[in-house]
Amino acid sequence: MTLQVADRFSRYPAGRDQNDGPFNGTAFRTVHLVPALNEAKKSGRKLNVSFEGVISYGSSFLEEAFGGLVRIERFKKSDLRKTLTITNTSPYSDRYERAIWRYIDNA
Amino acid sequence: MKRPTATWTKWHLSRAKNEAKRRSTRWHHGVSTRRSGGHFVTTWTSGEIIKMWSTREPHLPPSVLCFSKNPIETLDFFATMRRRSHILKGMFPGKNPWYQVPKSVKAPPRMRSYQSFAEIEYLSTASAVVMTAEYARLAEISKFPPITIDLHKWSDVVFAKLYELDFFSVVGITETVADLYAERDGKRTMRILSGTNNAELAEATRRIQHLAVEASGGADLLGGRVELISTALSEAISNVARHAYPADHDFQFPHVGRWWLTAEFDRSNGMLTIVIYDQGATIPVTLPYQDIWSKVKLKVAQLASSDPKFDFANDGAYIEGSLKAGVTSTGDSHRGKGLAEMVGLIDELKAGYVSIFSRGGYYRHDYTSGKNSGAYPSSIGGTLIEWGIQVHGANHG
Repeated sequence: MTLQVADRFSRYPAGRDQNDGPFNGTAFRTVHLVPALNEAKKSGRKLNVSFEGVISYGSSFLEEAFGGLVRIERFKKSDLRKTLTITNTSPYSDRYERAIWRYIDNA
Repeated sequence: MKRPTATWTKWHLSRAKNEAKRRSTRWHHGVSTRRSGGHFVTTWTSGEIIKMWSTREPHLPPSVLCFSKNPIETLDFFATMRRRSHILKGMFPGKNPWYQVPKSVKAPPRMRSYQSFAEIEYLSTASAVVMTAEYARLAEISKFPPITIDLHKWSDVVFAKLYELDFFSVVGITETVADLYAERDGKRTMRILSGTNNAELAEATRRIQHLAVEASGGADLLGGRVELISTALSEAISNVARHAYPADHDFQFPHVGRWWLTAEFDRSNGMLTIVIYDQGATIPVTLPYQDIWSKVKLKVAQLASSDPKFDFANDGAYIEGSLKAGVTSTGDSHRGKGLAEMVGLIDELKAGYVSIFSRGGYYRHDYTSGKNSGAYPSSIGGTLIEWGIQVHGANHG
């Protein structure tokens, strides 16, 4: 099961909440990410979050979207490790993926 | 007065230029000696060209308006411009603040003092952004379009930069001046973009990409680096949206809650320069109220002087401290907040610079010449970030 950030949400996600702009981390988490994770869990599948086509990877957005899964939505880190994968075709994909898991681990 | 035709306008501009040349040997900046301070000027506003009487001498900028080459005079010019503005003081509410139309049809409109751009020989992109932001604020607060004075006397280079930046849209005379524009050799400036948060991030990124492609003759010089640029911009803009305009801050001048952004590409040295400016409360004022303050308070105290010689003397220390905060908050300079992300890209590319002015303080991180910080007695009226990214070697493409 794949959630395409660029197609379903925005190629330029940024910031934490509505004060930062319309395509913020809270909106992505609550409207797209949490429902997709719940559906994946229910059907026993993994959720792949694909950043293909995304241009902006602000730390505020990533921390709010993914760190917020633990901090606010109360997902368990161990469950996320089993359910969630991150994919990207960007030349800098490694650093973004590392950052996402760091935000989850530090939440 | 009837709306002028394109032919009429062009003829008048040409005649005004020739008149200015003839008078320059006999007049000092076109100022009549018959009355002290009072003189005629030619104004352009909302499609009309009108001769007006200025009752006072103009406020003259320095010939070099640049925060790097001439910081003290440049900062002082903008600070004086704000201090003297009757619009920012809230005077003439509901009336045209730029000029008065006399009751007699024979008398010309009268105006008070103005800034004369005819004296500017060099205008940096950052100064052009600050100037555009100031005029945009005055236009938004007063609800009347600003006027430009003696346009025919402006240097070609200054005019070209402001035209490319789209300064003239702010003052509502784009159509009239289009014929005067000629592209500068090797440099191209992006149309200025303004917003209140990241809603305009997509447009900002696209304009920067377009600038680099157009200026290089079609080559995609940025490549994957556009992601790093857009990412850093998103954080810098979030900083403005979240921290620059706190509701409980007592601003010296009314603000419009916006940021302004432009970029310039110089083909001769392959340098892309991005400038972003806000008229907010500034880093030295807002940093102590942010969550990260506890992490950087000690660092700021170490950098600051215990005997400041003027009000803003320690502002550079606060800016430098805020950069450290961006690093310490994630432990990785590539993933820090906006400013730290910009510095991270400079270090990664092994070229370029980041220069920050906030209130009276400055901090510059140059990959080649190192880091330095300090402060000036005049405030820049907000926060200005200038980010120089070496895209390729000189005269590529």
